[in-house]
Amino acid sequence: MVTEAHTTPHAATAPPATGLWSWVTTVDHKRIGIMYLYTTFFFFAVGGLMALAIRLQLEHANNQVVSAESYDRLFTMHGTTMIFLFVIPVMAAFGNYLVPLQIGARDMAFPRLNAASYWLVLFGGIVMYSSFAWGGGAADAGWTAYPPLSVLSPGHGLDLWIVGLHILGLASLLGAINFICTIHNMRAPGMRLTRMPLFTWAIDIYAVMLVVSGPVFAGALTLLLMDRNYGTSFYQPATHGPILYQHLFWFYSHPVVYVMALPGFGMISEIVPVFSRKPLFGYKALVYSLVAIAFLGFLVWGHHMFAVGFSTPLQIWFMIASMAIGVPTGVKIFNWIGTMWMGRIRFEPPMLYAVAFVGLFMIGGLSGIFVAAFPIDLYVTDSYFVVAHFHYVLGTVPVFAVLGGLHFWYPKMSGRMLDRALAIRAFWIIFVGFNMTFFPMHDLGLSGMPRRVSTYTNHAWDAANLISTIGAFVLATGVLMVLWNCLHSLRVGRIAPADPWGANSLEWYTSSPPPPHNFDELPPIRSERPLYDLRREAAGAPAATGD
Amino acid sequence: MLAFEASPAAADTATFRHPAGPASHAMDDVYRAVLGVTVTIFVLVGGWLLYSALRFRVRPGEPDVEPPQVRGSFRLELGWTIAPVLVLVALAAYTLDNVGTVKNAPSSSMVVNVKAQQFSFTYLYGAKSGASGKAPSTPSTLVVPVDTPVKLLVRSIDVDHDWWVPALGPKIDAIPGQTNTTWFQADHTGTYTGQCAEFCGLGHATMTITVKVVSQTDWNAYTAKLART
Amino acid sequence: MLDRPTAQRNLTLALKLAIFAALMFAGTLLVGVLVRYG
Repeated sequence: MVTEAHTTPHAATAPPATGLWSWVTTVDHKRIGIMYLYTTFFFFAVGGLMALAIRLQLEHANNQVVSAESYDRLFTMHGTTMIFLFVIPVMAAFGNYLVPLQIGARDMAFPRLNAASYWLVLFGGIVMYSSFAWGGGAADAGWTAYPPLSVLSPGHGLDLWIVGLHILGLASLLGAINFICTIHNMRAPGMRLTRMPLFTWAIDIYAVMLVVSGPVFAGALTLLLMDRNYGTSFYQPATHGPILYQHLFWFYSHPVVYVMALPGFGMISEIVPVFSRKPLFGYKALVYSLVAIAFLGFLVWGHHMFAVGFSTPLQIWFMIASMAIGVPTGVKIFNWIGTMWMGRIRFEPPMLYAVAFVGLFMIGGLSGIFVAAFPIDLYVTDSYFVVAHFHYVLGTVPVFAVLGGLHFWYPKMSGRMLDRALAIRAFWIIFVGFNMTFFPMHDLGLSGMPRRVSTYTNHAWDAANLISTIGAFVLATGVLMVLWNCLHSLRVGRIAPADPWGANSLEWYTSSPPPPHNFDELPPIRSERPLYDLRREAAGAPAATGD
Repeated sequence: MLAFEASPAAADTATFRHPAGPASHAMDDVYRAVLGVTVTIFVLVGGWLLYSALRFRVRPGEPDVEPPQVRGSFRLELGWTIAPVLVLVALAAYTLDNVGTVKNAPSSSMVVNVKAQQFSFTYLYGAKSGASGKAPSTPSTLVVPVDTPVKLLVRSIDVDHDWWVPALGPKIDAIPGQTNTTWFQADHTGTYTGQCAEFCGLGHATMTITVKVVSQTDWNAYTAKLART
Repeated sequence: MLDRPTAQRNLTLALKLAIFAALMFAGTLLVGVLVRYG
């Protein structure tokens, strides 16, 4: 199962330069990917600390751990950080590292633009966070920043927030363009689109969605910045400005949830076949479902606006379209389980995360049916039910899919193996903590607890909130264990071979970590599992009949 | 002092699962239908996932045999695409059946104007209310008669808010620059509470709503008293 | 360094995508103007 690297020492290749300056000036997609990882996980930790503060405040009724003002900034920056400084760029992190390798390329189409994208992410984060120190405090109108409240928000926190988002938006747009060009122009001979790893497919679609929707968000934010600072009145009530904003905002922000989810799906699609020792079941169906989800994702934004005063026909359209997304999503879940079916499953840490993801994401998808049915949504929207829903669909992506991917690709990136026992313990703690934190929120919403409340008076909500708070600390403990494992194993982990898992795609062909130029040579690419085919041939079996 | 009929204890803590009027009943019916379907799906698919994870695990000492390398099945793809579509169509149809009750105020409805602001809701009886142009005796408490459809015309004078009393019916945003409409009818007397459900600033968490539903007798006395003030 | 044809294809595609994005941005601002003043 474990194979050695297929790279030969190349006399003319110098070993990768070390030292801080070589990292600062790098244009190597692998190093850029690693820098993205450090930065995004840093922001994950910061966003997580904010979540813990929120949970401490909500632990019981009438609590006073933080002021209402601070609370409003906390939930605003928690959401903003997790979405724009963690989940969206962490996909770029893995995409950057893996896509050139997975398609057999030497680097991205535009290596220097790639580096610029990373530095823009860091810069955007710094600009946004500077609002904590000056400008009158951080943004406090929710990550959604609806006018008129966001126009009226005093100080410059919201302006720094907007500018920070513009910078991050530019970073992700440039990154998206880079990914699309790379995937469409730089594939190795034999790497047809129908043989590409699902993760690369997912990144391609992630990038297309960002190019289409990102600029709309930038436009919406620009109008807001102008209303706040330059005396314009685009969002004035008299011309339905508040509704205009919501349309523009959600036209981007709904697709963006699929931007966040699809690469996660891609990771699961990489992990499950390897640890089931079978090909991905329904490769084509999985690709079509990614495309269907992306397409439908642009048609449903109004389901965030069911309560704004829409006509019934409009509500019906958005309901039907939102329910429709359940179909390709279900197809994915069935195909993943179909991959496991009659396989020979090894529960290495990546597989634990992947299986947990499938089950927990399904809970989120099912709660999505409730919110899609607008008579129900008019009860649960803006309540903790919806908070539960989106954490089960959007929180499972970074916590289970991404951590699964992190465990899977860690050996490739670092050249070391993680501590397996610690990884498994951390997984279970995360699994329990995640569910303790978010499952009770379904009940809280159904019991009438609205979201974005700095405190509450109804003691009937105390018990569920307490469980959720404890769960958050359990979850945080598990995540800390994972981070510790990653950092500690860099120094003491067992040396990793090229392919510790018996995997299928091209990144596993080269050494762990790969040399700067990625590949000295490539195996023949005749299916979506070139490494599997190579192993079969080496074992004397006839050549694969892939696609 | 007005005397209100003693309310069943359930009315005070009425939640979605204890709907107190036709609109919230209809929403509850749709909720139960979706709950039944989703729990069934969860048990079936979750069970299939769990079964696969446990049944096909590699056990120590097992021979190292590669499993059949099945790549897919067109029939299965068709089946598990069509089946969810049918389920969702059924759910959508049932939902649509209930939309009218949830959204449409009967033409005989009593009209109340709701004004939302940072950080309170205040009420004014409209032309059809029997106490036209008058505010309830406690302007931030809405008093209405039992078994009477009430149509709310909701507006805001500053930022977005949302009027939500879970037991009674759907929530509705209060958006400055427009008037939104919702309705409810309370089947039992009592006090129903809710709160603003659209983040509106520092006082959002304490922007509460109280609806007092009184008997017809008490309502007549109440409106007579309002007319005199 | 990339071969010329590939570099050429990359640049062309990148520019098309960038122009598309710019148009979407401008279009959004236009929508804002039309809704406010139209």
